[in-house]
Amino acid sequence: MMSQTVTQKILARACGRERVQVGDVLFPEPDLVVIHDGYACQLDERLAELGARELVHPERVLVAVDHQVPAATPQVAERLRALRGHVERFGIGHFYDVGRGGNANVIPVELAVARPGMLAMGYDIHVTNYGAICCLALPVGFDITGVLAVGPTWIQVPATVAVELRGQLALGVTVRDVAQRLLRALDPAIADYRVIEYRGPFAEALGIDGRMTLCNTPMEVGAKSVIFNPDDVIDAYLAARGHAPADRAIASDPDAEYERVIVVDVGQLAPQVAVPPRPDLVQDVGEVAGTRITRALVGSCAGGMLDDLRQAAFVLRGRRISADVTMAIVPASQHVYGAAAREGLLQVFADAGATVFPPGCGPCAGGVGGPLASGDVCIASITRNDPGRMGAADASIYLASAATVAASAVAGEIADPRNFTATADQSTTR
Amino acid sequence: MKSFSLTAWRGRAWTFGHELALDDDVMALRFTLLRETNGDVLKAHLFERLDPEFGRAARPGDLIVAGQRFGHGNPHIPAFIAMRALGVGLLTESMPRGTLRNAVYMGVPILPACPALLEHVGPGDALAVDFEAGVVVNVTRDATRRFPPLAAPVLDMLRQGGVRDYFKAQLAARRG
Repeated sequence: MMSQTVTQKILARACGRERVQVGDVLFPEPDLVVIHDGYACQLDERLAELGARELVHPERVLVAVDHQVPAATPQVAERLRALRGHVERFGIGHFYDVGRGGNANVIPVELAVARPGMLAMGYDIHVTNYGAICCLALPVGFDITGVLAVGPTWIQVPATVAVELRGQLALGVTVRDVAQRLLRALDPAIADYRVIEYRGPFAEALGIDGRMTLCNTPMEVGAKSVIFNPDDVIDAYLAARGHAPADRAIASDPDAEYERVIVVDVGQLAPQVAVPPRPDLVQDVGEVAGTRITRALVGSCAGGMLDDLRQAAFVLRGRRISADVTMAIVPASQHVYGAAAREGLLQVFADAGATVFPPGCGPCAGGVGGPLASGDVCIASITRNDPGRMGAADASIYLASAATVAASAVAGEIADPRNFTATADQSTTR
Repeated sequence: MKSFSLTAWRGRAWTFGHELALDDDVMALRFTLLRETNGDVLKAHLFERLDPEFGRAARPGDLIVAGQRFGHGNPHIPAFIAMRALGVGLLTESMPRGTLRNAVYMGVPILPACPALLEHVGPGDALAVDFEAGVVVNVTRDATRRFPPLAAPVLDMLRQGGVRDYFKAQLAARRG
């Protein structure tokens, strides 16, 4: 039989075929369908647009309230009340309300609801985080209404680009810097509609938190999805959650077809900062160091995991953030929040003068809670830096690792975290 | 609503540049945050920042002609609800796939991969487009160019009015 990538194998299984070829248009059946409150609060209206009154597989649907946390206005509170009604009425299988779950792009991994070999579809573009655990996750936008109410939507089998990561990071440099460096290498012409599949010793040594970051950022240059092959790191993560190891047969065959292989040695890498107005406008930190900031934010599905909070805390421990800066920490999930409390990270944040927001997307979801004011300059570990993404359209957003964000918050200007001694281990969360 | 066939689409060109951000250049992010999905409301705001006249002056059949990476950013849908409401088509040098998917969902006819198209089309040019064959005729300049059309199964859904209408039809058929 012809060799296949892990992506081809998962898609083939999901439409009952032996194999699929790049370019085939398929209608694969998802195992998991994920929507967040921003979409789900209008689920009844969306379904009515199609003339639908029920979901085809409500047991496969996961709803998490992450965008509007906490409800900041009475209108939002009403929307969330309506959402709870939809969850009840449509019999949705997995529901995570405020305080029960967190970011929908993170919690299916943490809870092992997304598992190796599964096909997930989601409304949000960053569901691709599930690739960290070898679940192929495809963002389908508004097609999700049809997937919920009618059946599979179209997927054109994407080609795969292998990204081979080698070397060891210097102290103070993190996996987010690797992710941002890749956006320089992954021109949209290379990444558009491709699946990015990671391999190589650096990738294989990474924990699941770091893998989620790597599975998140390629979406900014047009990737269709991002995935890791099953391995011992995934098995250990599953075992800790009471699940069996991943089936190694779903891994890419050694001679599977890759459109391109990109090799990156992370050893010489400096911290990477994306400058406004796009996440792929990435520079070495030295090129923007000294830029005055007013706001700092650690959070989101790209940079709000426990590893990110640890990096921020490592820099902030025993230091105070600049009087000119306000800083917020948004744990991606309730699990991260609890773990941060147990490790004493929340104490570090409090002592440094930072605030901790409720778990979820935080201001990354369009400035909900803690928006930027006109003229603000923010450095953040979030996903994107489009004008207006976190409030005022004439605020500026720089994207960086949690370590760089924390160092900058202390300095009052964009700063190189390598000058703040070593940062924490990059990949200790298994 | 759709008064033009995919194979014989005719209209005027509205040209835009490269790298238009979906959430800013094409449609302000606030409509996504407001969860606005009414095409009659949204259509006046399409390209509002770049060309405040567009929403009022565009006519059914007109064609948006844009450069590389049209509509990059998070693939929010209000812009495509507006295009559907206006009855316009879309030709781009390139567009991210999330954006493409939303166009197909709303039944906006597209040729997404037309390299160097902006060199061959000027503002107001009369165009005749066959979206199924991938042929763009610039009537004003008397020039014809060929580009890859969407895959056949996707064109099938576009003929049914887009993926949303395809799903509607499936549901209606299931109910008999």
